[in-house]
Amino acid sequence: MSDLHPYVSVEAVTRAYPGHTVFQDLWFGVNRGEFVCLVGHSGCGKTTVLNILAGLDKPDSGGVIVDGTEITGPSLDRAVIFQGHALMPWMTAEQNVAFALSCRHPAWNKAQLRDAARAALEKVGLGAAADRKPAMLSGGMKQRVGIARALALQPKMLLMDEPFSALDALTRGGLQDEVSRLVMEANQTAFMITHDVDEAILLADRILLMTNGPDSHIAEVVQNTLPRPRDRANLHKLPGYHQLRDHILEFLLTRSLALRGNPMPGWDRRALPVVRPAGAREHAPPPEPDPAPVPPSAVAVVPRPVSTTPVTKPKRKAAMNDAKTELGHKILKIKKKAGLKWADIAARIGMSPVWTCALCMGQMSAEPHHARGLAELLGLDEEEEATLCEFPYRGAQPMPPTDPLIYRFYELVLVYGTTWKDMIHEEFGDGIMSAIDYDMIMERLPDQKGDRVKLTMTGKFLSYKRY
Amino acid sequence: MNSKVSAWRAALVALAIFVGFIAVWESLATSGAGTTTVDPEYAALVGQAAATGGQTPFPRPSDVAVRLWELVRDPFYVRGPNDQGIGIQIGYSLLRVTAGFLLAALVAVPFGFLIGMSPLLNAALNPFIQVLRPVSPLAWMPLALYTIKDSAVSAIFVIFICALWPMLLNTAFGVASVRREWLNVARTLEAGTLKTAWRVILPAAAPTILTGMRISIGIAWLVIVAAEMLVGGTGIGYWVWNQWNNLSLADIVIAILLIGFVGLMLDRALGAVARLVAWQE
Repeated sequence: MSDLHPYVSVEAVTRAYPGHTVFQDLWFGVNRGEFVCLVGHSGCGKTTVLNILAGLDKPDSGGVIVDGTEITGPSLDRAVIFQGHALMPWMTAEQNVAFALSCRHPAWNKAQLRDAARAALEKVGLGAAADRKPAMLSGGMKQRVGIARALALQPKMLLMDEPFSALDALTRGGLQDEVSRLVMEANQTAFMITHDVDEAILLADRILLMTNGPDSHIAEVVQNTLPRPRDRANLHKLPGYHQLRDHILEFLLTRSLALRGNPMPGWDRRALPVVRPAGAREHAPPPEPDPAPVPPSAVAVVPRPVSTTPVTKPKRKAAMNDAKTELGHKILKIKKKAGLKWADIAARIGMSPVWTCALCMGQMSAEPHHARGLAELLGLDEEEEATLCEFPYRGAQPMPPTDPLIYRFYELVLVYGTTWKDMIHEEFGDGIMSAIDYDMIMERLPDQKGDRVKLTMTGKFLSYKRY
Repeated sequence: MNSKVSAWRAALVALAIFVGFIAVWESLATSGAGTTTVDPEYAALVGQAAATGGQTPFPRPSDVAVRLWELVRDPFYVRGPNDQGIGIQIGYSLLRVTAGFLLAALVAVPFGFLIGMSPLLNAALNPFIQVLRPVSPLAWMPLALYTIKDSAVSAIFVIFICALWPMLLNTAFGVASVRREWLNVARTLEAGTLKTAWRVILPAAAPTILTGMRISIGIAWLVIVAAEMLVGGTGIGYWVWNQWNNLSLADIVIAILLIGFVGLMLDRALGAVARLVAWQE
């Protein structure tokens, strides 16, 4: 892995239409065998990035270098899995793959093409459906054929344009696991664009976060340090998963907008800031939930669900990090003296006011570049800058619930959904910034028609307006 | 709106309409077979109507049926240039339509491809096509007769001209509206222009092209009757004109039925081809 000469290198790429700059002077690289995801909202130009990588679109300036050669157009070496599968409906699944193969190997005869196409379809579990036309295949099967077609080419690089976004959740999950497996097996260099956070966490080694458009930029690179192999069933049990997920979600919800045309101080387009919300890659792969204390995270509010049958007190003895609390009081004073608003401070580090307030008040841990920005603005010393980066809680994380029904619910609410956030949002509106010291108590209520789970939330909710 | 009706009920109503129509026709057509008032030998020479000296009676359905049986029983006889079987006449017409249609396809499909693939060519040729398209093919006939100097070939030329436009426009439209994503697939696969045209664009545009062909063959079959009336000699159009000169109204009724029937068959044949190349997402 060499940062100096990545396998694929996007250099100073600009794409603009008259009166509308999609992005300018974009730099990033993809290393050999690496899986990189580009995450951003619709309209931020991520499809344009992919089309330029594929050679389907041309940059106005700058270029893309793959394996030492600048690309000039589309190539068999950069296979694309399209969003809408893009199978030819007049060909069977096998003919679709064979057509691609015939372009790769013009000398092959029909039998060779057929055998290779069959083999490629077998790999994605579609051997039995090879003779069916796309109209006779389900959405997931069609996308499998698209994947088989791309992988059969044995490309230097695999490009994926939101390949699963048109599929239902169940099919999508299965395909994500499968792509994860296939890409790992082939040690395939891959670049994917998506707006599905879990998908990015499952598949990517690095996640590029792109701000909203127009004139978007890549705000930072998130290193996904979660151990491989990952699969959806165990992903949420990996230590650091929630921190990683919250970090990306937070970016999509607030910072992607705040940072538009307004990069963070110290941001360098040629050396993008790298963050590791899930911690350094040092833990051995533990597929089971780890009962040992896990360091809290970049984002302080780690849900602490507790299974209770019947209600029990949560097993938590988390204490606030006093140094951070003290620093919070100091920052409040500085802020008052300087007549600053949270929005002003937030603008400095390119985060939302709510997030910045929480960070300053000791509710979250800062990334080093955020801490640097805050220290510069507020005149903090080095020790205080380090305190900003510390974790807000000292304590143990609770065990996931053991009751299977409650566990299922816990998964639904906390892992797959953002229901609790929606609930808080409805209650308190935009002024709410985070919940502290809150408990979630899940009770199993026996019912003849099927047991139900009652969720009770108690806690303090930190309001942005309070400060 | 319309709920589905069962086929047999529709057939029953159709049959009732047919029977009613025939009955009204039969009762309205005066049975004016008339008595022969002149010498039978003269009557045989000049034909029934002239011989009776009265008005030609409109044929009754039964007359038509009898005449139809006579014609269909021996469709391929040849008794001199002016008296040939109905099958032969239809055969000549079909031959001309096929020749003109195939020539038109040979020109329209490749040119349609070019126009569809090149927006420049499309814009450049569009004014010509728009001006020439609405011209009745028969208006070309004098020019064709003057330059080609052969009435048989001129008829084929007229068919060619009228069959050209729908095929040309539909091919161009079909080719131009091939999905961007399929073309992108071909591009990322580095498929050459010919391979893309043959394996991607042609199959993708085939249903639209076939629609154009169906329209073309329909128009060609409409036009052939008029063209043959003008050029004469052979063909169903000439036969209709000849029977008009003979005042054999029953034959004309039969010709109308047969032209309709053959037109239906032509359309059905191309419909079958269209089903072969149709694809479904």
